[in-house]
Amino acid sequence: MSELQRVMCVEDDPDIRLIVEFSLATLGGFELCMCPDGQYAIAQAPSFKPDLVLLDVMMPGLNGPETLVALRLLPQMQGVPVVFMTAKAMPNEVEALLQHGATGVIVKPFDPVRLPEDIRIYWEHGRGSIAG
Amino acid sequence: MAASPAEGLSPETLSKFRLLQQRFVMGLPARWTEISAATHQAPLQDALHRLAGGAGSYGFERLSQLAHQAEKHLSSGDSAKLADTLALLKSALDSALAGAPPGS
Repeated sequence: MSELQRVMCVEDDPDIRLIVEFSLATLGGFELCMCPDGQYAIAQAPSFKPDLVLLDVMMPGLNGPETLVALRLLPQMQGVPVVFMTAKAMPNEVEALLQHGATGVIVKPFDPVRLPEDIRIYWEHGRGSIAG
Repeated sequence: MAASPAEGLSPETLSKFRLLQQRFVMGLPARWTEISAATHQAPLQDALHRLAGGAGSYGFERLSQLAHQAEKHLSSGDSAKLADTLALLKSALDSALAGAPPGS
């Protein structure tokens, strides 16, 4: 059985990128590709081949849902679970994000100690559940 | 978040986390400048939203909560509550800069 190893994080705020890196690389031991915006993520995804994408919702340029649509157009990315990160956590907003085809939603601020396990759970849940 | 992010970390990772906390605190004056200098709703909303989303992960839950409250008052157009919340936010920010424990 394969394991979650390669995580792509798309986040425009440098402070959040740093704490994600601490959480997922230092604590979680994952191999990371940190992306400051959606365009960078779309360019890196084919070569990095992430097992899971952690995607901020509100970003300048392409926002999270727009980035998800563009990533899904890449053949390598069609079955890869995508988890949104958002500080907006009203149930209707979470449901709208899931309707975009996301596997789950992480609410910011997140606990960096728990984040590795949270995304592992989403990965187990999402793997294979999205048509590839 | 129910627990401080620092709980349960080894000394080595705790030291790394403390350095990240210090870096985050050093950036707070710039964040406050963005908030206090914003003359339109969109940049103020954006600055508050980013502070609300980030501070708690560094252990500064009160900063996150106050920024989130201010964001809600801004959205609802309640300028009196917004001003009160921004004053509390500035005070919490000053405490963080003065070295008060996160969450106080």
